[in-house]
Amino acid sequence: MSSTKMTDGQLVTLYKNGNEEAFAELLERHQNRVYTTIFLIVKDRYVAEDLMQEVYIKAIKTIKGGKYNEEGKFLPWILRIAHNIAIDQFRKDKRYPTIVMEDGGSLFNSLEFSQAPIETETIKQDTYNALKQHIKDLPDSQREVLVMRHYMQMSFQDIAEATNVSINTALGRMRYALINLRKKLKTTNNAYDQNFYRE
Amino acid sequence: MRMTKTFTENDLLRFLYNDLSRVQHDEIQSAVFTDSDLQDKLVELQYPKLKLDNIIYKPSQKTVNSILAYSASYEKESV
Repeated sequence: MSSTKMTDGQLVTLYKNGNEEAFAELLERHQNRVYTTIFLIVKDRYVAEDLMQEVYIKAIKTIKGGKYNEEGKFLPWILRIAHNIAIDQFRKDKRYPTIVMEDGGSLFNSLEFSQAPIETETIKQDTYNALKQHIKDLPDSQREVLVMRHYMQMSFQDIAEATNVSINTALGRMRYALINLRKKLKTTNNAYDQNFYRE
Repeated sequence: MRMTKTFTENDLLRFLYNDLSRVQHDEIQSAVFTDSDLQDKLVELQYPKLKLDNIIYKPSQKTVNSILAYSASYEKESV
């Protein structure tokens, strides 16, 4: 099956008719974005992996049960499912786990870089590790809006409606999220400024 | 006298995320070209946004395989 240029809608149609390769393609296309959305909300890798399966089980049942009617808008649909399931779990747990594996390694070891700026490997790794922590440290309301806008690509109006606030409140939360991240990133980058520690 | 329209940081944020109508987008784009203050504010918002673009998490292959297996077996059950 040549699916290189098939739209999501075409793949869903094929999948409805029993084409598992089409589903595999859909999964591969969007799995990282779906997983990132979940992970940034629940902040726990094991939980995120479980919820990822839950999201796709729900999607599979809906599509194969003939109840899918998004007419080609597969990604926003599955991201909404992912967000709702992740938020439900987060509210149930309402915790900020710091989980270290038995060998002392971090759980957060599945970071993938894309088109990163030119930096030494050490600086790049540390910067993005720091950014991951900064995102986790954001107030819940700011992180939620950031996930919905940046990763789920919802409009600010839709975010406002989904979170029961005004659009200006949603915008404010996003703005403060970016401002907070910027401030913390600047602090992280200063650590690598050769001039910063010069005597 | 022609009134100069002022834009807020919320407007810039929506501009950054392409969350405006075409007319509004073009208005702000024109303003940014000529207003250094707006440019500075836009850059401040753009910097963390660009960093966020590089944050991607990947599920484990085990999870991916479980999902694929579920789909395949679900299809068989319904046949």
